[in-house]
Amino acid sequence: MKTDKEAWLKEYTEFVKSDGATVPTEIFMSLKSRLFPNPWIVFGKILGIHSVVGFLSLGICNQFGLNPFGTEHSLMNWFMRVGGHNFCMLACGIFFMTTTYLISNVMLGLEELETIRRYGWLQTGVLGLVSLAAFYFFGADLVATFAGLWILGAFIGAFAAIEGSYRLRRQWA
Amino acid sequence: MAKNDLKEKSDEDLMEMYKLGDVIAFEVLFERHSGLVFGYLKKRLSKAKNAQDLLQEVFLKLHRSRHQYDRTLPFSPWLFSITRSVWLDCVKKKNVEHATEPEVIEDMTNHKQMMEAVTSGLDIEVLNQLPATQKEAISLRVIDEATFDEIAFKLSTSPENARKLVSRGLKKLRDILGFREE
Repeated sequence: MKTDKEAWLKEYTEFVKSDGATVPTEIFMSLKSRLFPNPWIVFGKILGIHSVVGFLSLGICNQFGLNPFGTEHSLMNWFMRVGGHNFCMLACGIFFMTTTYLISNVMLGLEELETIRRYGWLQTGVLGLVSLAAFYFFGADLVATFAGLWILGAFIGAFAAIEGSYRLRRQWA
Repeated sequence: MAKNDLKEKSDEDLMEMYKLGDVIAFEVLFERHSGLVFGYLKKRLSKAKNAQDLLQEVFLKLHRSRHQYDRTLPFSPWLFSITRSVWLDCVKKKNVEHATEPEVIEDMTNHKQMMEAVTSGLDIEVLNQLPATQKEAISLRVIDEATFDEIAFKLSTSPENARKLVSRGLKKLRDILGFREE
């Protein structure tokens, strides 16, 4: 009876010495789209998730005073008490973007997360600006300093969430 | 870097570039090795479609493990280890699914009855009348309850040939023992 090592060596020799087989071209195309998803499609998915999650997150943490669910308690009030107005804007930005990327981590594939990671700064920048535009459209009173702090928070939250969740997912892949 | 320039590079260099996110390096590696991987899998699986699916699984696994690749070690054995583990996982999975099909269980029981007749009658010599490969194929099929893919893997042959070995061996045993097919 052959040991595992002997069997491995025998098969490996056969593997490297073989002429191989012709691989149909469509296999490579399908594999490539699986391993390197189109960044625009991934961005579209993130935008969809962000629209829903971002809106729902307003129930927990009001942004720029927007409170569509009319909740009594908000993380925003707590942030204000703990660190004042500037800290509150920064923390709200972190919270708003972190929730989106954490939910995306559950809903998207590992390769899609890699794509997000590759274009993370760009995607977060666009999502942040679109969100600010949406807040303004729904009546928020935007002040440049606060909006700047909020965007900074959004970048910090996005970077931490993308890196953290990607590393965790890779451990289990 | 252009694809043609990368074609001059070693597998290990390409892997290093691929780890850093170079998609073209992956394309060159795929062009270089996918034929070998596909040939290995095709030889062991009866359906070409399954071999194509597993080929994708191999390169998906390679993609997900690329950060674990150690540049000081040759690429080819590493790729082969991935290919072999994907193949073995497939065999194990098939084995579990296959063993629960009622007709397979019935078929195995019939074969077992015949094997019991051989072994309980202390007539081991009967088995020895079969050629060595047929004897081993039957033992794997009936005693170890291996699938044809698994037998093919252990005997380094194709699943079709493994099926033929078992079928011919059982026919010969039936003739020797005077069993009749129902």
